[in-house]
Amino acid sequence: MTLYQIIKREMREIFLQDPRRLIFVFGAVLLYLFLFGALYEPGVVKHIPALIYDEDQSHLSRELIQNLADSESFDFVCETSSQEEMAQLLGNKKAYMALLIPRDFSQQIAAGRSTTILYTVNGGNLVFANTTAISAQDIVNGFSDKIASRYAALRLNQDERLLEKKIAPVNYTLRILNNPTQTYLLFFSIGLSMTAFEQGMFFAIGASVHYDFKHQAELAATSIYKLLFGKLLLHWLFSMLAFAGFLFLASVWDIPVKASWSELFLLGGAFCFAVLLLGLLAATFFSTELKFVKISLLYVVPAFILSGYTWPLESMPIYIQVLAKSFFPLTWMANAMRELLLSGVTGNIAENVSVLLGMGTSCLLFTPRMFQCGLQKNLIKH
Amino acid sequence: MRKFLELVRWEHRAIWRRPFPAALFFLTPVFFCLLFGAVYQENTVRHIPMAVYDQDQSLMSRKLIQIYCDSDRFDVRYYVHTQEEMLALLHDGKIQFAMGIPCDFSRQIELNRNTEVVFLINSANNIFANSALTSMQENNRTFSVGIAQKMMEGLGMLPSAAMDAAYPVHIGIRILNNPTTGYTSFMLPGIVLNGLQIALLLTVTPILAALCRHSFYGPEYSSFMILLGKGIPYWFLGLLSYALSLGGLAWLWAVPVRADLWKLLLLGAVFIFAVICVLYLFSALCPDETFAVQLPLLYIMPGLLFSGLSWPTLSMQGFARWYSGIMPITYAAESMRDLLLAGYAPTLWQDIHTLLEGGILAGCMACGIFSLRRSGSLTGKIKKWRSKEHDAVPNYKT
Repeated sequence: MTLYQIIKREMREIFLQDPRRLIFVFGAVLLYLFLFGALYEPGVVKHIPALIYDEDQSHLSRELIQNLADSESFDFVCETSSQEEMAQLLGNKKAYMALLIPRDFSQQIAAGRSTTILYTVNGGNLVFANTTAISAQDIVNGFSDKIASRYAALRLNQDERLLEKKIAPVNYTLRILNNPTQTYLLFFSIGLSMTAFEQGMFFAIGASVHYDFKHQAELAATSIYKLLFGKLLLHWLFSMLAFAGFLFLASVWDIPVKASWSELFLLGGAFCFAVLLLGLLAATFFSTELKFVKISLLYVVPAFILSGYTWPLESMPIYIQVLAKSFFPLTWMANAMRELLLSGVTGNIAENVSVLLGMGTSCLLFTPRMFQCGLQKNLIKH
Repeated sequence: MRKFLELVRWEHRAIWRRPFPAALFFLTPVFFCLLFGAVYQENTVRHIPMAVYDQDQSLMSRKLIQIYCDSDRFDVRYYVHTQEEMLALLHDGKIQFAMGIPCDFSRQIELNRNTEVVFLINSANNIFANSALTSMQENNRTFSVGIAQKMMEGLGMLPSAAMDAAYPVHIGIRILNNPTTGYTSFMLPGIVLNGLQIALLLTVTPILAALCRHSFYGPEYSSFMILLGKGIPYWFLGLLSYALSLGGLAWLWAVPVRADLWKLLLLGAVFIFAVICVLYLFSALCPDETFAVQLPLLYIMPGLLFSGLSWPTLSMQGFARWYSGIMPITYAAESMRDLLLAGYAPTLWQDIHTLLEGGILAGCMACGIFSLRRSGSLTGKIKKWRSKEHDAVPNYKT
């Protein structure tokens, strides 16, 4: 068969005999974008149910409560009248956070002494703990500074505004880059879509390989190299189309695309190359498509977690980092893709692209031989 | 009853006759426990790479920098001399956090004026950002209170009175259930359940699709008997694997097990039942085994993230909330974590009830669809057999 005939045959398989392959390549990435776009649409966790137990019931405690109530991070759903009630409501998950203002709160402050508010949070879900802790500490610290200036001014007979500068001389300005509102949508959905994209490519190329194994008569006297080239070329083109579709649809969920299209397509192209070759090589090891599909499904969760997309690679043991960088193309794609989309730049795109091309090329060295072995094994079997 | 027991025995032997699928099934949750326990071993994100741009170069600025150097959350790797250098390091990914101290920092403080320190955080990865923000707040507070105390002492107060005057309202933190805010306790139980789910997906989902294509069992085996007989070995082995994974969580990764073991096992048992029933439904709907394993990619795989284990259910809206509601892992993951960390789960019985109801519903639907498909293929087989018999009988009339 000529290259043209090979490609025509693959097209016939994809469009007529097994359209699932197209669905996997296009559908996986786009559907996951939709699914996780819907999941993380609120962006940040807000209005976490919280409790207040004000033992003091003074003007000062109510001022503090008012400051806390203005926060979007939590919503006071209940005011309790005992510690037992507070513990029970926390235990039953009617609320996830509680603040206890002690009985002598205003008295201690008026006497020039310090007092402690107890902040209790259910640490089972760290999202609650992180969100409420940062917000509560910020508000209480600001309140503390205000009270300190006010009472120090009274005690020392000085101007409150001058004392504010002594109590809180340093303003800490925070600039959050790339994901300024820290929305989970921008944090998660890009990497999850790329994971699904990888899976879709695995399914598609695996189906293609096993179709050839079962229909060897159609391949009579065809060069393996030409066959593999044609197969890869077609699947790579469709994958790139799916990738472009993802970039277009990303705007539906307000995911910015700040990098140049050439950089994005360079990275995407190298990723597709690596994944398709890895999938092609892996598929040749298995006698049936079902076995390959099972193994690729086992691969997907480790690929996502080991990519360092959520839990950073630097916080993993060295041997896990080596494993992640050597066998998982997603490690070189997910973070870089997120950085390109959100900030327009990434650390070293040349390194990422080179490694991905290197991974693909390494797989390519073994693929023709393994493909040949697979053909022979299946010939004997059938 | 005899036929039913035969079915169970055959399926059990079939699982162990082929070591590859048996290992896949049994070891997947254990493997997930080991691998991801190792990944989250550090428990908290530390040593966040950081750069400092100190334009002041004074004793006071160095005190502030020292607080960050002493913190194990941050790793001060670069001292830069320009803002451009700082931004370049952030863009190159060499640092995730940067601090810029202005040139008149100490002078402004001495003159009782406000000054500003700028922090830049790369928040592309929220985990870095959250860890940095929490620690940054504490460090800055420590520094500010120290300065404020000195200022108050300068106004004639004694040190302890100055501290109280500068910092009257403290916040005491009590974190229940996961006091070290460890990532292992936060995510690993759910990941183990997800591993169990994937193991079941790989082994159970092809069953009914294969039986619809090849009628191994005659009409003397009812569809219900087949579903039950084939499901029981997987349920039992799944429960064993789950128990082993719980052991791994407790002994290897020090995840506390505060609840009674029977509650954890009961939850696991009901979860496995529900998942098997749902997977039977997928299997009954699919034309072949391969597609049966591929189709749940949109259902089982996103399950962990839709379970409410990390992104909470109360923050889900509309479609996401509904989709989360139809997944078995939503009713197991959080309760399992609560049982482990707190010793009880407030919605345990409700979740078990929902899993049982959902499982029975899915199982009944699967049974119905399987019966329909079976009767179609069985009728075809009987017709074929009858037509062969008819051909074999000589036509004496002619």
